[in-house]
Amino acid sequence: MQGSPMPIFEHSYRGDIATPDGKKVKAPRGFILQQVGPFLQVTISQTKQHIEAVTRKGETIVSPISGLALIDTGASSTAVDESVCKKLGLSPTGQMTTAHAGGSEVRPCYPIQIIFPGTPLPAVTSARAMSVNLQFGKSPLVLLFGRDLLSKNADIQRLRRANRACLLSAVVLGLAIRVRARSSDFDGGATGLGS
Amino acid sequence: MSIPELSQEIAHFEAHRKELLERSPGKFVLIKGDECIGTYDSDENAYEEGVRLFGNEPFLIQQILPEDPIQEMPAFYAGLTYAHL
Repeated sequence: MQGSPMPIFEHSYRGDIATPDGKKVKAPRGFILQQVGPFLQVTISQTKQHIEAVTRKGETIVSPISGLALIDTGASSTAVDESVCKKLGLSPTGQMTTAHAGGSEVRPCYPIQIIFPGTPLPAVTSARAMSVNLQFGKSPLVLLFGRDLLSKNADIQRLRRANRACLLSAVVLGLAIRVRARSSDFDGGATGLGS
Repeated sequence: MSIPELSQEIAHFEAHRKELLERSPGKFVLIKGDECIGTYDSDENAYEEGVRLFGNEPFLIQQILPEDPIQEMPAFYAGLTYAHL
């Protein structure tokens, strides 16, 4: 299990919950993940290559923007909030089509760097993150971490391996329980015959 | 339909999609204006070359496929991504 990135959930989310009298206490281990979902604190910035390019031209580097990201295994592509792309002064590197109940929509894509502050996780670069309006309502989301980046991220790969190990352990444990149960049946049967 | 900043690049890609598919299926093409700069094994490689050549100007990175895939974001469009926030 060593090397599993599961602790990123504990590392990055502000794990405080309010008691009935309004006092803030630390949430129990796993509570935030179970109740709210796999959210991460992230900082989104221009890519390293972008910063080098604008520095060469003597242009100003824009400060990174922090917010929450949701690990969304249902999303095929990583999506970044469009206001973040505008604030960072990014130029598009492509377009993607996304479908919803109202039809399909063509959205611009932007290059971003995703930093996971307070964790040992390395920064991740996406050359083409699809921009959408994530901040409708009062949502503090700036990023949906989709399957495109999940499939490339070594730490998530480690999680997959960990999951496989868990599955193998569960199968072995299940077999052991079944063998033991049959053995108990046999013992019980023997006892029954003897009585 | 295409985004205005990349309309020229998208039109160029669509005009050459068939020949690109024959030559470099699955790879990523880098296009600036009416010029195909090159094809790359990954979008990261195409991006590095694009930034090196054009800095923070718009350029197109497109995977060479028979059709562009539709991206799925079911939780986002159902309004479920921020349900508990």
